[in-house]
Order: sequence, then C-alpha cells, then structure tokens
Amino acid sequence: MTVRIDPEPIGEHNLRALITSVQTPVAPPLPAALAESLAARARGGGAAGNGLPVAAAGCAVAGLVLLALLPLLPAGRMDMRWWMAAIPAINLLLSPFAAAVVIKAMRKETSDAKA
Amino acid sequence: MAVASSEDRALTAALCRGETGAWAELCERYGGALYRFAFHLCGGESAWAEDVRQETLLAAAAAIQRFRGDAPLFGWLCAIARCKAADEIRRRGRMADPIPENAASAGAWDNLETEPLPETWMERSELRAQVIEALWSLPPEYHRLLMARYVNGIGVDLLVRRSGRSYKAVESMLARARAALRRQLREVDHDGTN
Repeated sequence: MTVRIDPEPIGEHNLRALITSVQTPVAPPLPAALAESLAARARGGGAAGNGLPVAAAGCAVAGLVLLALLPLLPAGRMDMRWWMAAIPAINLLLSPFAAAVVIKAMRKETSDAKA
Repeated sequence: MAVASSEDRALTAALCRGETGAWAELCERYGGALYRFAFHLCGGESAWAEDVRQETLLAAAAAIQRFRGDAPLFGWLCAIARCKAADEIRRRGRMADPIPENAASAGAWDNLETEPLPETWMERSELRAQVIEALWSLPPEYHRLLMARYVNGIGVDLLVRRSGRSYKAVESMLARARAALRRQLREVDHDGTN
C-alpha cells in the first residue's frame, strides 16, 4: 500500500521559497557601542537638528535688533553711529560662517558616532 | 495600509526617550534584516551594505522623534536605507541605479497563490529586498510563526505543543500570517517606500 502525500499548495510553496531565500547573507555584528551612541543621538537629536537654524537666526536677529536701535542714538554722535551700524552689519555677515561652524560640528559628531 | 504593531509602538516610545536598551533591542531585532535589505539594495556589495545600515541607524536615531507610527518601524528604516543608498549612488556618480524600482516589479506578487514562482525570480535583488521589507514589517507574532514554520522547519504539531494552542488555532494563525505576508508584499510592491 502506498501512502499519498498531498503536495504543498502553490501559494504556501511560493511563500516558503521566498522566506527561505532571504535568510542570507549573514549580517556582520554591529559595533557593541553603537546602541549607546544611537541612544545619545536620539536624546540630543532635537537640539543637534535645530543647531543650524538657531545659530543663523540668532546672529540675524541680533543684527536686526541693533539696526533697529540706531535711530535712538542722540543726534550729533555720528562717530558712535558708524560703530553701531558696523556691529549689526558684521553680525549679519557672520551668520553664514556661524552656520558653517555648526554644520562642521554636526558632521564631526556624526562621524564620531559612526566610528 | 499597515501600521506599526503594538510591539513597535512600545519600542518606539522607548527609542524616543533615548533608552540604550531600546536601541540595543532595535539593533538586535532589525539589524540583520536591515543589512540584508541594504545588501540587495546595493547590488551585493557587502562593505557598502554595512555603511548603508550604519548610516540608516544613525539617521533613524536623529529622526526617531518624527516617526509617527503610521507605517511599520522596519518599513520606515527601509525608506531611510533607500535614501542613504541613493545618496551614495549620487556621490559615486553611478549611471546604473540598483535601487528597487516599483515599475520593474509592479504586480509581481499578484499571482502568488496560483502560479509557481519563475525560477530566476529570486535572483532579482529588488524582489529580494521587497520580501525582506514585507517579512520584517509583519506583526511580530506572525513573523515569528512564519520563521519557525518555514526557516526552522518546525512542524505544526510541535508548534501546537510549544504554543499551548489547539491544532486548529495554530493552522488558522499560520493562514492569517501567510495572508498578511501576501498583503504586505503587494503593499511594498505598489507603495514602494511604504
């Protein structure tokens, strides 16, 4: 007497083939300290992500405030006015450099965490 | 559309709090699958796949507060990995794009129930990447059951003994898990980045 084994349905056979085919290659282990770096990054993620716009906006706002204060200076103090105009102008000019410094710091932090 | 499972939501909450244990669990749960996904995405370059995996995890850590849970967590990681691989392709100035294109496989999973898989199909890396994304985006209980049944080759009888459920209940859960995988495959295929 022969025992007839029902063949696996096509749908199930296909899924079995798909699932087993994606079990390789074996992944190399992740660095042991990575979880700690990721957690630190997640805790400080918001601040690091906002660093660039905050720095740039801070410089720009400070410059604009100083510009707005110019008319309040007493008339006849032109030498003072020149200085007061120069400060916000320098501030505004510096804002892209401040942004660049922040970008550089963020990149370094990323590469450190990666290492 | 699939959403994050309750386990994923609980894990995400801990990830947002920056708990080291939660990040270790994420690496443990998805690290291997993410590497394999990246491996197929990167045309089988292991060093590149390793870079993509690490960059993906770093980007995920920076952006976890913005993860809303309206997609499976692994699907979200896969979307980041696609972006990281695309960045590298742009840096390398490659002409060929190995990132799965939905157009190349659209409808690939529609006849999964009725027709045998073409023999050469699983050599296509974009389809393998889709299978990985779909399989690890399933609710964990379905994922574990499918892995036990098809990867570890555990028979239904043993699954019944291990789970303490009835034979009928295990078979029914297996059927639901298979249906969920088929749905997820079609979703990944048609939605792409999930």
